Amino acid sequence: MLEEAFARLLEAHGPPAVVRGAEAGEAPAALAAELRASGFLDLLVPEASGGAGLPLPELLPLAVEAGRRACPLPFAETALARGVLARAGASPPEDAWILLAPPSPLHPMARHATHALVPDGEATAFVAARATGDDPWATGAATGLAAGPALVRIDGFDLAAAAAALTAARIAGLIRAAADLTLVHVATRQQFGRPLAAFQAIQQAMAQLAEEAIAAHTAAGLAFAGERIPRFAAAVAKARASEAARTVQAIVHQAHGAIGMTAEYDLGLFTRRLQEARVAYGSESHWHREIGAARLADRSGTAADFLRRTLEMA
Amino acid sequence: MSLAALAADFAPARLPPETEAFRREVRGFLNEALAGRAPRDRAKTWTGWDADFSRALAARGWVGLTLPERYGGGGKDQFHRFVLVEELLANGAPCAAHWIGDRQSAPLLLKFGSEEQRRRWIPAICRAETFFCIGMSEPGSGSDLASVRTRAVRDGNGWRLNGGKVWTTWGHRADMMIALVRTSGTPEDRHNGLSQFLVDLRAPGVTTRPIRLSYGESEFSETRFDDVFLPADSLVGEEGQGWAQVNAELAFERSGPERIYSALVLLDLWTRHLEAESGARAEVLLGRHLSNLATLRAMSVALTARLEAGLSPVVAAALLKDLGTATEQAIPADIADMVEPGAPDPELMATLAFLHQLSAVFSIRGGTREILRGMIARGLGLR
Repeated sequence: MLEEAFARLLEAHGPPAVVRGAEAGEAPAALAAELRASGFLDLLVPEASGGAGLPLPELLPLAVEAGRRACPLPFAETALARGVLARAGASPPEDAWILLAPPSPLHPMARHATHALVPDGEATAFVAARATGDDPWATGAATGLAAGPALVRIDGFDLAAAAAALTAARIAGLIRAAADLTLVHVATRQQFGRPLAAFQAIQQAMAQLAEEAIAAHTAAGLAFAGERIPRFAAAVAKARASEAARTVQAIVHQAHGAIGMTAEYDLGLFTRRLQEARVAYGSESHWHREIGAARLADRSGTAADFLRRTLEMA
Repeated sequence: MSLAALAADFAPARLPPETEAFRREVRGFLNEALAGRAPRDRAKTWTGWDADFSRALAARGWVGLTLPERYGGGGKDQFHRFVLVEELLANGAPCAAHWIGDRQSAPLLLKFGSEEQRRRWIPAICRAETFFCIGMSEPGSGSDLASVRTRAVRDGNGWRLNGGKVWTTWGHRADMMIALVRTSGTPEDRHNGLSQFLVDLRAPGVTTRPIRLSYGESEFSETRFDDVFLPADSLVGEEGQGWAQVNAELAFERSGPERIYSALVLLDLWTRHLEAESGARAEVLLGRHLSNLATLRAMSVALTARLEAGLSPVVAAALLKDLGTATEQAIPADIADMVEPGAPDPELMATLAFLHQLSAVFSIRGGTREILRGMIARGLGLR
């Protein structure tokens, strides 16, 4: 229900034309206003503070959907930050678009963001922030952030895990969008008198595409299973989703041929963001190393025991 | 079906909390039963035949765990079976003797068998008295299973069976086979005219021989049927419905922990072999496999919930098996890349050599990678 309403909102107010406009520097003002008015941004804010008071798992499908629409605003990041800030007794400005910004080679969706959660010693600070540096994939990301002084300080929040987990969800959505375009393309594009989908080589590639899409979505879900985002679940989520991003962007472009590389076709909206999201907030190897080091520090039991223990899986 | 429908089969699920006490019970048993067993032997897991172990497991009520108690089963849900199988595989228990009967034959008989067949065979499977195998492939019929030529023709009250099966897992040690054979038509009729029969492998006219594999093991066999008489009650389910009956079990065969944990014993042996400070390369590699396994495990638990709900997510199970076996195969291949010169641990080398050789079969047994991907493509509406 929630998910469908959110999808309809993005479809109506954040179509590819708006995404392209935002890439060119136009503020997506109408989309921002609709999202603010919708109440979705206060999904996790406790009811006592005027929010919907929903649990964390409810954010996952919306974060995936925002990815699927290449939403130019940090919707899921803002919603998570508003929940965290509300529980710390703070209320950010109504029109704040908040990045989760642990150290990273780049920050997707930075151009139209106004604030960020950034590391502040052992704690996390809520600051005003604006994009600096470059936007290598030309999506509205930034390699740097100019941050103001701490407006609020929060303790006990794992900023790196939260950024990784939300980016994993975004990757799952971006993959889904790229996969949907590709499945339609191979079913309709004719070569040698047959649709591409009639060729076994294409069928096998599409099966692998579906596998990676579902693996990425499942991995992202691990981080959103409980009331908070466990560190290792976020690590697995971002690692596996990033691996999927790598495989998927290769498959979808190969299946599309030259048309997939053009600016007028939508595929590039998603694959440019997939490449960027893979790099942001820890690539697969970054998180693999953290997981591997943790296992080497705790070699008791089987690997299956370790997974259940560290991922807080049942 | 669409990608969205396929994704819905993987809706997140959790093992119910009451499985935790069961897990501890299983672990306690395995710690004792497997004490002193070398990793190279543990690595065989569900390809390792040990009838005594299977009987010890059965004595606990853990063979046929999900089958109804009135047939000697454990009456537990699919989540308990997930936990049991996860523990068996992660700890390297030799499961082959009871494996096929437990996973496929008994559930098949429960679903399609006559009441008499159920009463006769399911309790025997649950007691690990009778070991089953499944006769599918034939010399001219591997992935193209619908082209089977082995034929049963009516003979008086029963049937007369001629032909042969190949690549039957542990057929030379099993007592009974459930064979998919032709009862009408020709191989050109494809899926039509196939039926399933219970075949006593000790009956006159049956000969089995193990097939020695290049790495020295013999877990596969070849079986000849020369005028084998099958009594009337050998037919399982309906005549001509063999293909549909086989397909009904595929989701069980392809969605379990055995499609993700076949190389876990090696991964753990290598992990124990590493120093705490082993450097970035080892950490990254170990972390990659753990992150893949975590994802695959969540997918397998999700499908377990679908099975428990009475669904048969055949395409989703094919998808999990293809992904899972790729990780199972990557574990020995990657660890081979990490062995340094010097004095390698003999146990690590022996276990690596065994699984590296065996692992080619992971994406062949139970449906080849190409067949599975073809099923997924069909599920996506592409063929």
